[in-house]
Amino acid sequence: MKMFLSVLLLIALLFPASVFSGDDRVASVKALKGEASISRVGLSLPVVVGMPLFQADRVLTGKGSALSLILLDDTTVSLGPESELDLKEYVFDPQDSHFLVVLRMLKGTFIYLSGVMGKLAPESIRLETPDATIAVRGTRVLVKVTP
Amino acid sequence: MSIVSLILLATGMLVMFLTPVDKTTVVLMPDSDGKVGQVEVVTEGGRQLLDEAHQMTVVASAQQAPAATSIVSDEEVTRLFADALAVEPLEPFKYTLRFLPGSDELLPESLALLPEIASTITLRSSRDIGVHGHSDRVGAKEYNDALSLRRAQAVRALLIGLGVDEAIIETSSHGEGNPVVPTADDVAEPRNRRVEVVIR
Repeated sequence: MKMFLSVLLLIALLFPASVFSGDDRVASVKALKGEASISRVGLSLPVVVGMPLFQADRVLTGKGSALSLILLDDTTVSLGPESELDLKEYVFDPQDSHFLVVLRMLKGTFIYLSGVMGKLAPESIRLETPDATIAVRGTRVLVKVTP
Repeated sequence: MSIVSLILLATGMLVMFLTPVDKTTVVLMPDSDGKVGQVEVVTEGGRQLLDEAHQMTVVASAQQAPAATSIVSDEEVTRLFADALAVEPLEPFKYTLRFLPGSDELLPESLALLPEIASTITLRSSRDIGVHGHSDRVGAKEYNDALSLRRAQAVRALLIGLGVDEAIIETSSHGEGNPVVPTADDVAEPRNRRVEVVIR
């Protein structure tokens, strides 16, 4: 019986009730110039201002386009044209002191301005490019990645 | 085309072909308050610290250390990052509202700020308001998680009462975990008993 209940509990934990509900959002799109898309679980979605973004989303801007987004802790990331950004990992949980920001900048231009996590837990912030890792301590940093 | 021009063209193309492309460029800049932080750029080959505004380093390949820092001008920064700069969000406008101990009741001077908050929201045409509740460290963690949520919800209700669209307000509860003034456990600190309204 105990085994059965444990297995049931395990299955219940594997299927959270809210997949991609508004509560899981990690960011919102703040501004958009031109065209951009989000790649999410194999689907390509056009960007609209105010749209929620989730962990594992890839943000892609088109030619002559630009986009800015604000994360839950008020970190902002702005992308220039023909840029690609992975929201690899994001946890902002001050109640339980869980903090993590891992963003992967694959190509293009970016402006990163850290929010509350930059003050509370700067060691939890990591920006990755294909060739380097950037550790950030509460600041504003501009990154250009040429593939 | 003259022989000289042809030679110059060929040399130019050869230089372009042989010059390594900077794969990653990192520039440290001040924020809107003029504050400058630090970044450290790390590759398999080494690391480089940036701690002054306008400092730049470049990475030619993952195996090489990042280059020694140079100083880059505002004009060059604008040239490289113009489109991203144009959409970079304004610094959010933040209000701090304070509370009686153990309560979701606002202090009188904070209650008096609410109409100004509502009009700033209108003036900024903001569609994205964060209302974040906090507590000091008096009491158990779970108690403070719940108290800070009640505080955020109280402010949210007051803002809606002043005509702010409820759809644009997002509340969160930070409990004891994000103090203005860090203290030891169970220490009363009025400055931490607060809600921050962030107008983005």
